[in-house]
Amino acid sequence: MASTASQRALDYLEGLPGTTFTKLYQQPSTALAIFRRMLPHLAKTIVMAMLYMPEPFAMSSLDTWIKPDADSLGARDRAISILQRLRILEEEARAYKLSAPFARSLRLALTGGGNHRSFGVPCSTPDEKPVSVDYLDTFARKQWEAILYYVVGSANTELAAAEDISAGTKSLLQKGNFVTIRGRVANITDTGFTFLLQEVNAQIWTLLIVYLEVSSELQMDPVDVLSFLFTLGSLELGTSYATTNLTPTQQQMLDDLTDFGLVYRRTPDSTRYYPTRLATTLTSDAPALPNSSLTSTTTTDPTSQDAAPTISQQQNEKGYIIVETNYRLYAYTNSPLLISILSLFSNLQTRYPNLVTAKITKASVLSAINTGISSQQIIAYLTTHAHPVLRHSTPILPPTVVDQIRLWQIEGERMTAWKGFLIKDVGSQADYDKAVSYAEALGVLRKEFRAKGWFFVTRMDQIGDQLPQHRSGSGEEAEEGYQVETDADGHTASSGDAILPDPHINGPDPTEPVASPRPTSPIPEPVGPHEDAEVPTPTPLDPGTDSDTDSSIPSNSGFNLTDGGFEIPVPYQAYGWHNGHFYYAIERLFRDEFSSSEDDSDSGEDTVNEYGERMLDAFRHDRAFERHMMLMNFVMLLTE
Amino acid sequence: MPRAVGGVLVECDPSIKAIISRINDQHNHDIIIEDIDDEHVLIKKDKHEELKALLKDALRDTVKEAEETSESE
Repeated sequence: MASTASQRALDYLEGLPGTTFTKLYQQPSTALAIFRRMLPHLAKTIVMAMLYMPEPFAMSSLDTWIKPDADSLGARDRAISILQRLRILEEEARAYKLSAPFARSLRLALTGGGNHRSFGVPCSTPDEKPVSVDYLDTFARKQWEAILYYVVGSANTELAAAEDISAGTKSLLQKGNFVTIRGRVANITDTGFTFLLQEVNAQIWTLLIVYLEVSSELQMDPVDVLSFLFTLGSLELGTSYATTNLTPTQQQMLDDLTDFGLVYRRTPDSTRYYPTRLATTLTSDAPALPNSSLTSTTTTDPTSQDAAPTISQQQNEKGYIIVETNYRLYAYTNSPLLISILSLFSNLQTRYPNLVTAKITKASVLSAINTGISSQQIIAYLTTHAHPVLRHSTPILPPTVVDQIRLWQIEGERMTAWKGFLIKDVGSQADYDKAVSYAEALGVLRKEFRAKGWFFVTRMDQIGDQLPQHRSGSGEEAEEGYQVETDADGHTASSGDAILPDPHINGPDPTEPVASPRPTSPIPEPVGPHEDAEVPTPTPLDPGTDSDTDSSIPSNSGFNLTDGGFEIPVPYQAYGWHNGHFYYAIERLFRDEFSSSEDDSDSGEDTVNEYGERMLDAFRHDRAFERHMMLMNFVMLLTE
Repeated sequence: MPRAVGGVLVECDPSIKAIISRINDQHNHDIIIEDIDDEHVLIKKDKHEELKALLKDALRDTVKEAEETSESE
């Protein structure tokens, strides 16, 4: 349902703060646009059902509407999550209610009434020289293609220069990283190439989102900008609208939107503006450029296009390239834009009135790769635009060509590299296996060198950063954020144990941050140690089943350590799963491993200490994942 | 005692590995931290870009001729 275009808009909207939504939803046009464009059908059904409900709608009642199978429940969860992310649905005491401004605006939009004027105010006097829809389409096409030419032409100077675009648009394209300026020449980037490959509607949204991001830097109110865009989506093509009721920000926007071809004004100070098809299709699925030369290919008879523009548009959107096994490429098109896209990654050879021949060579592919276009993108482009003749066969493209394009890219990348940490000297084979499968379960294992007993993990906080972080305070007063358990209970439980150090020997040491007192610890007091040395099951890592588990592992942390098949080795079980022990281990680990000055490996010393710092940091900030990594080290330590 | 060594793990063909070793020798052994096996080395984080550039140069010198022949048709 959600196309890439609305997906981009959705992603942007989700990042906005709640107050922005409240302001946005004051406009009925915005509420309607979001309702019809951004919501999956189930979400629409829920909204419609709740629109006139006076009371909050109990969750249990909603559940009675949904079939209890996995698919339906999944669809419900998605719908509810989208509604909540867009701040349409509010949750209150196990019941849902619609956000008040959204509901009010949507009711207004559906039933009419009010003088909100959010659907634009048509000019009361007719234009002396009315502007035809055809003219608007041509204007929109010219403006939009000029932008695309600029992006493509930046790689191909002969074909550029035909049209020029405003300086504002150029800087916007740079801001959006579609082109980079080297010296005085603009170069297409991989983002730019992805941009070119999108359908027009998605391109417009992509550009508008960059515009939105830039506009907030220019002190333009994003609410004004967004609600004007949504208003544009509800306007009628071929009608002129008055500029008089627009806010200053929106008046300013009109100039930029004229540059993009979204609106047409006869003169820059005209009091009326015409939305073009690019604008009126912003919040619908209709094709944005029906008579576009940019997608005009010569696979269908050009004269038939006027008869059925929509159908021929869809045929034209794809299907004009034939690739042969000898790397020759035939493109049935006469559009300079398409030709210049092809020239990005192939050597053009001959141009006929309706056909271009080209050859894919190593040099042409490598030059594309040098500008940041990936072999994947080239292959995707050739596949989606393959001529219908090729579509009869599977695979669509000759495999030799596809493989060769990939190989050309790989050839330039003779080595693959990952940042991370090499873990060595883990201990016995069994411990090694456990540690590796643990790292694998967490998705950080990159490579293991079984013969050597080493393995390599990527960044330790890779997952940790995505987990909910429980912080006690600003996080800077870190030294108090963790502590070593030194009370008598913890001691008793571990005494007599040859592996864990005696807390009183290791005791508080002013120079060791680890030994600082505990008053502001974010971690609750341990409930009590296991007096029994035998913990019956390896489940203590499951926070749900053992009240004595380390409360620092949030039960909603998203993964369960026992899932990975990782068992706590017996020596560890013997000491129970207890805050105090955990901290002993960390402290000892820190001392032994990371702050010892007699470190023998000279090359690794800096990074090893950095690693220790990272662990401490994780500890202070109560980052669950890194603690798990520490546990892993702890396990290794214990099994020595 | 387990040890964690930070760095960049490089995976490559044995032939490329040989070139990397040679580059390492030419640069005071200042690149490689750990020679793991024929296809893997651990290198210093800050030397990664430098090594990439050096490798590119080395390849340009050695592989060029082969490319020329395969390209002609």
